[in-house]
This record gives sequence, structure tokens and C-alpha cells, in this order.
Amino acid sequence: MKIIIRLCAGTLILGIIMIGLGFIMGPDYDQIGAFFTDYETYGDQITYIEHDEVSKVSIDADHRNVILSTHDEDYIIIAYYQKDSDDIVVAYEDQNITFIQRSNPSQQQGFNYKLPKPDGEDLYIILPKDSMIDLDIILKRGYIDHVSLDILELNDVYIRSEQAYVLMGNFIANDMNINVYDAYLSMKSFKAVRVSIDIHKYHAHIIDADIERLLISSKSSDVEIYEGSFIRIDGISESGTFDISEVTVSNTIDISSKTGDLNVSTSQTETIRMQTESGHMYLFVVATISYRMSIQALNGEVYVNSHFMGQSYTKNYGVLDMELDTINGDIRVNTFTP
Amino acid sequence: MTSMLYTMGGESMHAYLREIESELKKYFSPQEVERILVYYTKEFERRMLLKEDPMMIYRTLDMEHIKERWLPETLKLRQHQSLKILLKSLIQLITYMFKVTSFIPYGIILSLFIIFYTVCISGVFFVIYLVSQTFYQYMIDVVYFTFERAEYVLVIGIGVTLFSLALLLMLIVMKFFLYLVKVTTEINIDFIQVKEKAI
Repeated sequence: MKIIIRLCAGTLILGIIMIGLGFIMGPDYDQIGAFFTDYETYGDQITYIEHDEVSKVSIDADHRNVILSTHDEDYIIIAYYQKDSDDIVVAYEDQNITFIQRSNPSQQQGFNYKLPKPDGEDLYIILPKDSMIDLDIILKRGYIDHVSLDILELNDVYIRSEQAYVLMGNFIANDMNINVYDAYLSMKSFKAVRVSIDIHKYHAHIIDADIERLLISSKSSDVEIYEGSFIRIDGISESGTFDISEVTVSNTIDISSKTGDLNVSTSQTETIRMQTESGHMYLFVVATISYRMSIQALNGEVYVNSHFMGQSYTKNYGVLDMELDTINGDIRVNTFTP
Repeated sequence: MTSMLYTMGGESMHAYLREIESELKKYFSPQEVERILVYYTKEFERRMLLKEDPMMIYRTLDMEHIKERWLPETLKLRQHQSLKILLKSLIQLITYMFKVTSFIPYGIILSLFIIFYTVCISGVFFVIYLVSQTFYQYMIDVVYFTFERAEYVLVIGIGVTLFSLALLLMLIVMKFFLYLVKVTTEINIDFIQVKEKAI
């Protein structure tokens, strides 16, 4: 071992001497930079333009940052780089544009010491402003984002992400179906008729949304819904919490979690149903007086407007419905001044 | 006294001592065997003076457990100057702990520690393998890249420096884990000695 350590120390000194010598000899730093970057494997940016009518754009990629934007023209632009190790197919058929990207295992041995091209994994999809197309995105790694300031108008949206962040905002859609397994989801300032979200691990944030029907299913993800207008919110979780605040829900809030807490602060809502096994519930409504209430905490405590009510509380008059049910948690219901 | 012992069966005493020696040699180094034999020689001499038969003395020495009898003390006195000696002590210690019922739980804990260290050391070897592969790939890339002389010297210098640094770092980490193996082994040797004395 001592011999190897001495040998390493020797080569280290030799390396330092060579670096010093190299600097003295006046190297071309652009060439040195080119050696330590991986730009040449990406080639030039490829631009695909589709002038024909398009009703659907499908993306199926192993690793891409899908960047959506709009322009004033009536054609679709898809721009990307193709790395040497990638297989990419772009096709147009039956009004559908399909982009498929597969990453082949790297032939590089050991660690990668070359810097990748900063925008090498970006996939730009530039759509006409009022395209109303369907969008299907299946992504393993990377992210999905909408960057233009104009509102993007879409029809049906389907997103399936393994480890790709979904960071969309500023758009209008009809039906949205989103599955996220191992990444964050953050969507804000958007409008949709129906949104169905299935998220497994990380947090989900829905901010300032205008949705008729929102359905969220989570495994361990915490879900935050902040501001926005809804007709109905349905949520189910195994161990994640629901934090719904500053929202206007005209019809129903129906949420449940096995072990997560449920926090809701809402406007007058026709029906509020909340259920947990061991989580706590905090509910703020405009006026508790308007609700018929059926509240039960089997092994916990019930408080209504900060008054202790024992383990259950029932009120049979009111125009709105409230059903809260937990086994081991506590329930607190309060009136708040909006 | 020697002449008297010979007359009282000194030859058979040496025969028994040789048997003990051959048994001990299976487990201990010649120096350690020599030290243990001093004890048995004195034991024979003392008891033969009390007119005990050498064969009877030998039978009472419990040859089946002679290794267990001397292991804790021998391990305590052993100098762990090389990895070979350290590994020998470690294997003997774990075997001993699993043979003595009251030490089995401690043997399990020690084994878990050793498994953890082994995994860490294997990880270090794997990183060394990756670093070597990276250096190999780096040198191939240098050969295929078109440089002037100054760039060649600088780029090779950077590669050699980083490779040596990474290798040195990994060797230091490996030495640290080997040190932990040594410390853990010696703590356990002390522990079984204290426990043995308490029993």
C-alpha cells in the first residue's frame, strides 16, 4: 500500500509540473474548452416544421425538457438536438405529429468528464396560439414547461412522467389526465374542464386554477391547492396530506386520506366530505351556521368554532352538507371571515 | 532437578509437550506456541514433583479446548502489524465468539460491522476501477483530439493530476476503513478478555 501511495504522490507531482509547463507554453484555451465539453456529439439544432393541419402532438421521450410555447403563425415547429447516442423519430400521420426519443446506453467507460450542452436536452414545441390540439407527453426524465406569456389553448392533455417535473401554467385545456411517479408537479394559472391527477411521491401544487372537476389521487404526495375556482374537488390519498386554501368550490369537496391530515379553507360549498383514519382535520368555512353537520371522531376530539363537542357532533338544520369522519384524529371546524 | 525429573518420566513429559505443541501450531504462530509451552512445561514440572503421572497430567489438560483456552490472551498479545495477521485474528475471534454461547450475540454484532466495512472497502475498489476506466478513456480521447504541443502537455497534466488525486483519496479512505477493522477487532479482543475474566 505504501508503495502505491508513494507512486500516486509521484504521479501527482508529475501532473502538477505538466500543468505548470502547459500553462507556460501558452495553450489555446478554446481548444482545451472544446476538449472538456460534449457539444460536438449533439450536432446542430434540428428544426421540424409542420404546415399541414395537426390535431395531436405526441411526445414519447427518455430524457427531454419539453418546452412549450406559442407563436402567431399557423404552423407547428419542433426543434431539438440529436445526440450521437440517441434514436429520434419525428413523423406526421393522420394529423398527428409524433416525436419519439430513445437514449442508448452510453459507450463511455467510467465517469463522464465532459460537460453536456446546456440546452442539448431541450425539445421546443412551438404551437399556434389557438391551436386547440391534443397533447400527449410520455417522459422518463427532464421536465415539461410552458414558457410563453400568451395563453396556450389545448384540447385534451395526457401526461405521464416517471422522473420528469411537470411545471405547466398559463394555458387552457379541456380534459387533462396527468400521472406523475417520481417528480414534483406544479401547475398554476390555468383553466380546464376536467383534470385528473395521479401522483405518487413528491408534492403537487395547483395554484390559481379554474377547473370544473378536479380529481386527485396520491400515494404519499402532499397536495396543495391554493386559490382558484372549482365546481368539484375529489381527492384520495394513502399517506399524503391535502392542503386546500383560499378556494371557491361551488358544489362538492370530497377528500380522504388514510394517515394524512386534511386542511381545507373554502367558500360556501354545497357539500363537504372529509374522511381519514388517523389524520387530523382542520376545516374553515364562511359560516358554519349554513351547514347540516355530521362530525365524528371515534377516538379523537371534535371542536366546532373552538368549542369542545366531545367525540361527535350533529346538526340537522342548514342548507349545505358537511360530513367529517375520522377514527384516530381530531376534527376542528371554524368559521372564518373571508 | 532435571536429572530427577528424567528419572520420574521426563522423556514422556517431552513427548506430551510435543503433542501439545503440534496441536497449538494449528492455530498460533511459533512465537505464540513457544510462550504457551513455557506454561505447560512449568505445569508438568510442578505436578511431577508432586509425583503425578505425566499421562494423568496430560489427560487433565483438556486438549479438545486448548485453542479456546489460550485464544483470548494470545490475541491480546498479538501485534497486528500486517493485514494478514489482522485478518487471521479477526477470523479466529469471530469463530471463537460463535463457539462460546454467551458471546454469540456479540459475534453477530461484530460480523455485521465487518460486513459493513467489507461493503465499504468493496465500494472503494469499485470507485478505483471506475476512476481507472475514466483515465483510460481520457487518455484515448486525448490521443484522438487534435492538439498542439502545449495543449497536449496541459491536458495530460490535468488528467494525471486528477487521476492521482482521486486514487490517493480512495487509498486514504481504504486505509481508514482498514483502521476501523483493526480498532473494532482489538476492542472486541479486549471485550472478550474482560468478559472471560469476569466469568
